[in-house]
Order: sequence, then C-alpha cells, then structure tokens
Amino acid sequence: MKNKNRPLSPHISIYKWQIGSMVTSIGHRATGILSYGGILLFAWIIIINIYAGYEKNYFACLFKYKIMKILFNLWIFSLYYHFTTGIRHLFWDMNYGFDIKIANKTAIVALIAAIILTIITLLAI
Amino acid sequence: MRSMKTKIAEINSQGSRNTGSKHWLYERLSAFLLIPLIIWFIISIILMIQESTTTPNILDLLSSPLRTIFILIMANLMLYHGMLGIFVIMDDYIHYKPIKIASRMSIYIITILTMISFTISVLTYHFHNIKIW
Repeated sequence: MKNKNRPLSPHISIYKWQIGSMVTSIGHRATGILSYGGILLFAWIIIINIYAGYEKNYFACLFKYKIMKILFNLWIFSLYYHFTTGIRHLFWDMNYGFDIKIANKTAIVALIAAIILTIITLLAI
Repeated sequence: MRSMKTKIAEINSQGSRNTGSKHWLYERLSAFLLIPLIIWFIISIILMIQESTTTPNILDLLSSPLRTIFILIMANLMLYHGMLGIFVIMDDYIHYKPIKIASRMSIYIITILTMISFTISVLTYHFHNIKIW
C-alpha cells in the first residue's frame, strides 16, 4: 500500500481555545492517555510488590523521591478530570446538555469537581 | 440475543470486517460500570489510610475478599476501557497500514498481558500468600 501522506486539517493551531469545546476535548484525550499509562505502571507495581516485596513496602519507598510524588499527583488529577469529563460525555450520549451555554457551564463544573477531588485525595494521603 | 445491532445494520455490515458499533458500545458500557467502582475505590483508600496506625501497605487494598473482587473488576475494566480509547486515538492519527496494525497489536498484547498477570497475581496473593522466590 502506498503511504498516503495527507495532512490533518488544523484543529489546535487555528481554533480559539474555548473552555467548553477545545480545552475539555483535548484535555479528555490527553488525560485518557496519561491515565492509561499510569494504570499500566500501577498494575505492574502491585504485581512486583506481591512477588518481591510484600514483607517490605516498596510502594512507600518510591515516595521518598519528589518526582514520584509530582508524577503521582499528576496521574491522580488526570484520572479525576477524565472521570468528570467522561460523565459529561455520557450525558451527551443520553441527549442532555447539548446547548452551548449549558455545555460551557458543565465544562467548568467538571474542572472544578476534578480539582476538588484531587485536593481531597492528596490531603487524605 | 444474537447481536446488539438492529437487523438492517447487521445485514448492511455483513460484507465489511470493521466492527465500529461494538467498540462504541463496550466503551460506554465499561465507562458506566466504572463510575461506582471508582467512587468506591476513592472512599476505600481514604478510609484505609485513616484507620491504619503504621504506614499503610499497598497490599492492604487486597486484605478482604470484597476488596479483592472490586479491585480486580475495576483494574480489568479500566485497562479494557483504556485500550479501546487508545485505539480511537490511533485511528485518528495513524493512517499508514503496517504501522497501524503493528501499534494496535502491541497495545492489545500489552493490555491483555497486564490484565492476566494482575488477575493471577492478586488471586495468588489472596488465596495462598505464597513466596515465589
């Protein structure tokens, strides 16, 4: 098959960054990728912990490094943001909330809910 | 119920090998089932950390059978939902057929390996608590 090198139509470079459409859509996609990578890592950390370190605590030892804390916080926030924005998508699938004004409001509600959930989780941990 | 499609959709799609509606339905289904599981997971972690006196061990997540069942279902559903989402992103940005097939296969293999390994490890820990080496 020939490599058809046709370019994508510009979506990020020319469109205005509105909170309801661009930020949420790109954010949903990016946080989805980040969450998936983080879940793979988390699952393998649990597997290694079961087989190699269940007497010691390798998971808590990782948190002595600052960068692991930052990556963990980033992963928690991306999980929650994808969660709230995903609920918004499910409501769209049921035909609620398509109007522009309502969609913008739900986008801000989703962002604030994600931030609140992150703060609650990080305070508890 | 043989298939989730309407009769006309089934007939119209019989020549093609691409199944799009199943992908869409499973993505929404796994997302819908994950909503209560994630809420349970957050509350369970917060309660678990608050009620343990020493530093909490990550494997306390598997301390009771109920927690094991929920963690297993949640982790496998999350990985499956993530795999479907990555397929959508790849369909958007990769158009050259060999790279498309290779990357879809790699993500599929990685996800299935992780799902199987995670399930077997958690079940081994829960039932036997054995040392492997």
